[in-house]
Amino acid sequence: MANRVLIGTRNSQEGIYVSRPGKNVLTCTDDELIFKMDDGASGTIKGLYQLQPITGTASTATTSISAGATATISISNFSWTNGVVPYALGSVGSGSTGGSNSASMGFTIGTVSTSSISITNNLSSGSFSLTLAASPVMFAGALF
Amino acid sequence: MANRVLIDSNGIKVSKPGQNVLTATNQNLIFDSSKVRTGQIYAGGTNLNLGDSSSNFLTTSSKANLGYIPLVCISEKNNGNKTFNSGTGWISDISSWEFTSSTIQPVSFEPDPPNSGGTSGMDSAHINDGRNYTSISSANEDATNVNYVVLRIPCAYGYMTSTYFG
Repeated sequence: MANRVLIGTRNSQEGIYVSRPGKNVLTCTDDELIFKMDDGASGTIKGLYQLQPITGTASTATTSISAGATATISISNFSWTNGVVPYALGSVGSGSTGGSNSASMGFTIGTVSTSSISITNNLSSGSFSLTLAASPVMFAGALF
Repeated sequence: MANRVLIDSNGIKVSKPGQNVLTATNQNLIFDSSKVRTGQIYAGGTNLNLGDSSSNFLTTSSKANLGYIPLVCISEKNNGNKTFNSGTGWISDISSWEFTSSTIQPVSFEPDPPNSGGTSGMDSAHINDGRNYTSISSANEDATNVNYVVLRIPCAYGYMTSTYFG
Protein backbone atom coordinates (compact mmCIF):
# COMPACT_ATOMS: atom_id res chain seq x y z
CA MET A 1 0.00 0.00 0.00
CA ALA A 2 1.29 3.45 -0.89
CA ASN A 3 2.13 6.03 1.75
CA ARG A 4 -1.01 8.17 1.80
CA VAL A 5 -0.69 10.56 4.72
CA LEU A 6 2.29 12.75 5.53
CA ILE A 7 2.66 14.96 8.55
CA GLY A 8 6.11 16.34 7.97
CA THR A 9 8.29 17.84 5.26
CA ARG A 10 7.47 17.86 1.56
CA ASN A 11 9.21 20.17 -0.90
CA SER A 12 11.12 21.72 2.00
CA GLN A 13 7.89 22.79 3.71
CA GLU A 14 6.37 21.22 6.78
CA GLY A 15 2.68 20.48 6.71
CA ILE A 16 -0.07 17.89 6.35
CA TYR A 17 -0.50 16.11 3.02
CA VAL A 18 -2.81 13.36 1.77
CA SER A 19 -2.43 11.70 -1.61
CA ARG A 20 -4.98 9.99 -3.84
CA PRO A 21 -5.54 6.27 -3.33
CA GLY A 22 -2.62 4.42 -4.89
CA LYS A 23 -0.31 7.46 -4.97
CA ASN A 24 2.75 7.84 -2.77
CA VAL A 25 2.41 11.06 -0.81
CA LEU A 26 6.20 11.35 -0.63
CA THR A 27 6.77 11.39 -4.39
CA CYS A 28 3.50 12.17 -6.18
CA THR A 29 2.80 15.40 -8.03
CA ASP A 30 0.82 18.24 -6.46
CA ASP A 31 -2.12 17.36 -8.68
CA GLU A 32 -2.21 13.89 -7.12
CA LEU A 33 -2.74 15.29 -3.64
CA ILE A 34 -6.29 15.53 -2.30
CA PHE A 35 -5.21 17.60 0.67
CA LYS A 36 -2.17 19.80 1.02
CA MET A 37 -0.92 22.82 2.86
CA ASP A 38 0.96 25.63 1.14
CA ASP A 39 4.29 24.22 0.04
CA GLY A 40 5.54 27.50 -1.34
CA ALA A 41 5.33 26.35 -4.95
CA SER A 42 3.28 27.89 -7.74
CA GLY A 43 0.50 25.42 -7.11
CA THR A 44 -0.57 26.99 -3.84
CA ILE A 45 -3.95 25.84 -2.60
CA LYS A 46 -6.04 28.67 -1.20
CA GLY A 47 -8.49 26.60 0.78
CA LEU A 48 -11.08 23.87 0.60
CA TYR A 49 -14.36 24.63 -1.12
CA GLN A 50 -17.21 24.13 1.31
CA LEU A 51 -20.82 25.18 1.34
CA GLN A 52 -22.69 26.27 4.41
CA PRO A 53 -26.35 25.38 4.89
CA ILE A 54 -28.49 28.46 5.21
CA THR A 55 -30.89 28.46 8.12
CA GLY A 56 -32.37 31.90 7.59
CA THR A 57 -35.81 32.84 6.42
CA ALA A 58 -37.02 30.52 3.68
CA SER A 59 -33.63 30.43 2.04
CA THR A 60 -33.33 26.69 1.80
CA ALA A 61 -36.93 26.54 0.69
CA THR A 62 -38.42 28.18 -2.38
CA THR A 63 -38.90 31.93 -2.47
CA SER A 64 -41.46 33.33 -4.93
CA ILE A 65 -40.81 36.79 -6.37
CA SER A 66 -43.44 38.75 -8.30
CA ALA A 67 -42.74 40.78 -11.42
CA GLY A 68 -40.81 43.94 -10.68
CA ALA A 69 -40.45 43.06 -7.02
CA THR A 70 -37.35 42.67 -4.87
CA ALA A 71 -37.15 40.02 -2.17
CA THR A 72 -34.70 40.33 0.68
CA ILE A 73 -33.84 36.88 1.96
CA SER A 74 -32.40 36.70 5.45
CA ILE A 75 -29.44 34.45 6.10
CA SER A 76 -27.50 33.53 9.19
CA ASN A 77 -24.32 35.43 9.90
CA PHE A 78 -21.61 32.87 9.35
CA SER A 79 -18.87 35.30 10.40
CA TRP A 80 -17.33 35.06 6.96
CA THR A 81 -14.90 37.97 7.09
CA ASN A 82 -14.84 38.66 3.37
CA GLY A 83 -18.55 38.26 2.74
CA VAL A 84 -20.97 35.87 1.09
CA VAL A 85 -21.17 34.44 -2.44
CA PRO A 86 -24.80 33.68 -3.32
CA TYR A 87 -25.82 30.92 -5.71
CA ALA A 88 -29.39 31.12 -7.00
CA LEU A 89 -31.42 28.83 -9.21
CA GLY A 90 -34.95 29.54 -10.29
CA SER A 91 -37.92 28.30 -12.21
CA VAL A 92 -40.82 30.13 -13.80
CA GLY A 93 -43.83 30.20 -11.52
CA SER A 94 -46.77 31.93 -13.17
CA GLY A 95 -47.76 34.47 -15.77
CA SER A 96 -46.52 35.04 -19.29
CA THR A 97 -43.30 33.24 -20.03
CA GLY A 98 -43.07 33.27 -23.81
CA GLY A 99 -42.74 35.90 -26.49
CA SER A 100 -40.42 36.74 -29.30
CA ASN A 101 -36.84 37.37 -28.25
CA SER A 102 -37.75 38.10 -24.68
CA ALA A 103 -36.34 37.18 -21.34
CA SER A 104 -38.87 34.83 -19.79
CA MET A 105 -37.14 34.83 -16.43
CA GLY A 106 -34.66 37.50 -15.63
CA PHE A 107 -33.39 38.26 -12.18
CA THR A 108 -30.51 40.11 -10.66
CA ILE A 109 -28.72 39.49 -7.43
CA GLY A 110 -28.53 42.83 -5.65
CA THR A 111 -27.05 43.78 -2.32
CA VAL A 112 -25.38 40.91 -0.52
CA SER A 113 -24.47 41.25 3.13
CA THR A 114 -23.61 38.83 5.88
CA SER A 115 -27.27 38.86 6.95
CA SER A 116 -29.28 39.04 3.73
CA ILE A 117 -29.35 38.65 -0.05
CA SER A 118 -31.65 40.73 -2.25
CA ILE A 119 -33.05 39.32 -5.50
CA THR A 120 -35.02 41.37 -8.06
CA ASN A 121 -37.42 40.01 -10.67
CA ASN A 122 -36.71 42.16 -13.73
CA LEU A 123 -39.78 41.20 -15.72
CA SER A 124 -42.93 43.26 -16.20
CA SER A 125 -45.18 40.27 -15.69
CA GLY A 126 -44.91 36.77 -14.28
CA SER A 127 -43.43 35.44 -11.07
CA PHE A 128 -40.75 32.87 -10.51
CA SER A 129 -39.37 30.81 -7.66
CA LEU A 130 -35.82 30.67 -6.39
CA THR A 131 -33.66 28.54 -4.18
CA LEU A 132 -30.41 29.80 -2.70
CA ALA A 133 -27.14 28.51 -1.39
CA ALA A 134 -24.09 30.40 -0.15
CA SER A 135 -20.37 30.01 0.18
CA PRO A 136 -17.76 32.31 1.71
CA VAL A 137 -15.74 34.86 -0.25
CA MET A 138 -12.31 33.34 0.07
CA PHE A 139 -10.20 36.48 -0.30
CA ALA A 140 -10.84 40.21 -0.43
CA GLY A 141 -8.53 40.74 -3.42
CA ALA A 142 -9.88 40.84 -6.97
CA LEU A 143 -7.90 37.79 -8.05
CA PHE A 144 -6.28 35.19 -5.87
CA MET B 1 -19.75 14.83 21.46
CA ALA B 2 -19.59 12.65 18.37
CA ASN B 3 -16.36 11.11 17.15
CA ARG B 4 -15.31 13.50 14.35
CA VAL B 5 -11.86 12.40 13.12
CA LEU B 6 -10.78 8.90 12.11
CA ILE B 7 -7.19 8.02 11.22
CA ASP B 8 -6.58 4.35 10.56
CA SER B 9 -4.84 2.09 8.05
CA ASN B 10 -7.37 3.13 5.38
CA GLY B 11 -6.65 6.85 5.65
CA ILE B 12 -8.39 9.87 7.17
CA LYS B 13 -12.05 10.73 7.51
CA VAL B 14 -13.63 13.80 9.09
CA SER B 15 -17.36 14.00 9.69
CA LYS B 16 -19.74 16.93 9.90
CA PRO B 17 -20.44 18.38 13.34
CA GLY B 18 -22.78 16.06 15.20
CA GLN B 19 -22.05 13.07 12.96
CA ASN B 20 -20.17 10.01 14.20
CA VAL B 21 -17.27 9.48 11.81
CA LEU B 22 -17.26 5.76 12.64
CA THR B 23 -20.75 5.25 11.22
CA ALA B 24 -21.36 8.32 9.05
CA THR B 25 -22.49 7.88 5.45
CA ASN B 26 -20.60 9.61 2.63
CA GLN B 27 -22.89 12.63 2.63
CA ASN B 28 -22.03 13.29 6.26
CA LEU B 29 -18.28 13.41 5.69
CA ILE B 30 -16.48 16.68 4.98
CA PHE B 31 -13.20 14.93 4.17
CA ASP B 32 -12.56 11.38 3.02
CA SER B 33 -9.13 10.29 1.81
CA SER B 34 -10.63 7.42 -0.20
CA LYS B 35 -11.86 9.96 -2.78
CA VAL B 36 -9.54 10.89 -5.66
CA ARG B 37 -10.43 14.58 -5.82
CA THR B 38 -11.47 17.21 -3.28
CA GLY B 39 -12.58 20.81 -3.65
CA GLN B 40 -9.16 22.38 -3.31
CA ILE B 41 -9.38 26.01 -4.39
CA TYR B 42 -6.60 26.75 -6.84
CA ALA B 43 -7.55 30.29 -7.88
CA GLY B 44 -10.47 32.64 -8.16
CA GLY B 45 -11.84 36.16 -8.32
CA THR B 46 -13.92 38.45 -6.12
CA ASN B 47 -16.50 41.05 -7.19
CA LEU B 48 -15.22 41.42 -10.75
CA ASN B 49 -17.03 43.53 -13.34
CA LEU B 50 -15.98 41.71 -16.49
CA GLY B 51 -18.66 42.98 -18.88
CA ASP B 52 -18.07 40.89 -22.01
CA SER B 53 -14.42 40.14 -21.22
CA SER B 54 -12.63 37.08 -19.90
CA SER B 55 -10.72 36.67 -16.64
CA ASN B 56 -7.38 34.89 -16.52
CA PHE B 57 -7.08 33.06 -13.21
CA LEU B 58 -3.42 32.13 -13.65
CA THR B 59 -2.06 35.67 -13.47
CA THR B 60 -1.89 36.03 -9.69
CA SER B 61 1.44 34.66 -8.45
CA SER B 62 2.03 33.31 -11.97
CA LYS B 63 0.20 30.08 -11.27
CA ALA B 64 1.07 27.01 -13.31
CA ASN B 65 -1.52 25.76 -15.80
CA LEU B 66 -3.21 22.68 -14.35
CA GLY B 67 -3.09 20.89 -17.69
CA TYR B 68 -6.85 20.43 -17.82
CA ILE B 69 -10.03 22.50 -17.86
CA PRO B 70 -11.07 22.73 -14.21
CA LEU B 71 -14.41 22.85 -12.47
CA VAL B 72 -15.28 26.51 -11.80
CA CYS B 73 -18.09 27.68 -9.53
CA ILE B 74 -19.44 31.11 -10.48
CA SER B 75 -21.93 33.55 -9.02
CA GLU B 76 -22.88 36.77 -10.81
CA LYS B 77 -25.50 39.52 -10.71
CA ASN B 78 -27.49 38.74 -13.86
CA ASN B 79 -29.39 35.49 -14.19
CA GLY B 80 -32.43 34.08 -15.89
CA ASN B 81 -33.42 32.50 -19.18
CA LYS B 82 -34.54 33.61 -22.60
CA THR B 83 -37.01 32.60 -25.25
CA PHE B 84 -36.64 33.54 -28.89
CA ASN B 85 -38.34 33.27 -32.26
CA SER B 86 -41.84 33.38 -30.78
CA GLY B 87 -41.20 30.71 -28.26
CA THR B 88 -39.67 28.07 -30.54
CA GLY B 89 -36.43 28.05 -28.59
CA TRP B 90 -35.31 28.51 -25.04
CA ILE B 91 -31.99 29.14 -23.36
CA SER B 92 -32.15 27.92 -19.82
CA ASP B 93 -29.58 30.30 -18.38
CA ILE B 94 -28.23 33.55 -19.79
CA SER B 95 -25.41 33.25 -17.25
CA SER B 96 -23.41 31.18 -19.75
CA TRP B 97 -19.65 30.76 -19.61
CA GLU B 98 -16.84 29.20 -21.59
CA PHE B 99 -13.95 27.69 -19.67
CA THR B 100 -10.38 27.02 -20.69
CA SER B 101 -7.45 25.82 -18.63
CA SER B 102 -6.58 29.46 -17.89
CA THR B 103 -9.68 31.64 -18.35
CA ILE B 104 -13.38 32.06 -17.83
CA GLN B 105 -15.27 33.87 -20.58
CA PRO B 106 -18.90 35.12 -20.51
CA VAL B 107 -20.64 34.00 -23.69
CA SER B 108 -23.91 34.17 -25.60
CA PHE B 109 -25.46 30.92 -26.79
CA GLU B 110 -27.44 31.15 -30.02
CA PRO B 111 -28.84 27.71 -30.84
CA ASP B 112 -30.75 28.97 -33.93
CA PRO B 113 -33.28 26.13 -34.23
CA PRO B 114 -34.60 25.48 -37.74
CA ASN B 115 -38.21 26.03 -38.79
CA SER B 116 -38.03 22.67 -40.57
CA GLY B 117 -35.56 20.00 -41.59
CA GLY B 118 -34.62 18.81 -38.14
CA THR B 119 -31.09 19.25 -36.86
CA SER B 120 -29.70 19.74 -40.37
CA GLY B 121 -31.06 23.26 -40.26
CA MET B 122 -29.05 24.17 -37.18
CA ASP B 123 -25.94 25.06 -39.15
CA SER B 124 -26.00 28.61 -37.81
CA ALA B 125 -25.90 27.61 -34.15
CA HIS B 126 -22.99 29.23 -32.42
CA ILE B 127 -21.52 30.60 -29.22
CA ASN B 128 -20.17 34.14 -29.17
CA ASP B 129 -17.77 35.68 -26.70
CA GLY B 130 -19.55 38.25 -24.57
CA ARG B 131 -23.26 38.61 -23.84
CA ASN B 132 -25.19 40.15 -26.70
CA TYR B 133 -28.69 38.74 -26.55
CA THR B 134 -31.36 40.48 -28.57
CA SER B 135 -33.84 42.41 -26.41
CA ILE B 136 -31.84 42.10 -23.20
CA SER B 137 -30.04 45.25 -22.13
CA SER B 138 -26.33 45.18 -21.35
CA ALA B 139 -27.12 46.06 -17.75
CA ASN B 140 -29.19 42.87 -17.46
CA GLU B 141 -26.81 40.48 -19.20
CA ASP B 142 -23.21 41.64 -18.69
CA ALA B 143 -20.96 39.72 -16.32
CA THR B 144 -21.15 41.91 -13.22
CA ASN B 145 -20.37 41.27 -9.56
CA VAL B 146 -18.67 38.03 -10.53
CA ASN B 147 -17.33 35.77 -7.79
CA TYR B 148 -15.68 32.52 -8.80
CA VAL B 149 -13.47 29.77 -7.50
CA VAL B 150 -11.37 27.41 -9.60
CA LEU B 151 -11.32 23.94 -8.11
CA ARG B 152 -8.54 21.44 -8.68
CA ILE B 153 -11.00 19.06 -10.32
CA PRO B 154 -11.01 18.29 -14.07
CA CYS B 155 -14.38 19.07 -15.65
CA ALA B 156 -14.41 18.85 -19.45
CA TYR B 157 -14.70 16.32 -22.26
CA GLY B 158 -11.50 14.32 -22.50
CA TYR B 159 -10.44 15.04 -18.94
CA MET B 160 -12.94 12.94 -17.00
CA THR B 161 -10.68 9.93 -17.34
CA SER B 162 -8.46 7.70 -15.24
CA THR B 163 -5.52 9.84 -16.33
CA TYR B 164 -6.84 12.60 -14.11
CA PHE B 165 -8.93 10.59 -11.65
CA GLY B 166 -6.80 7.46 -11.36
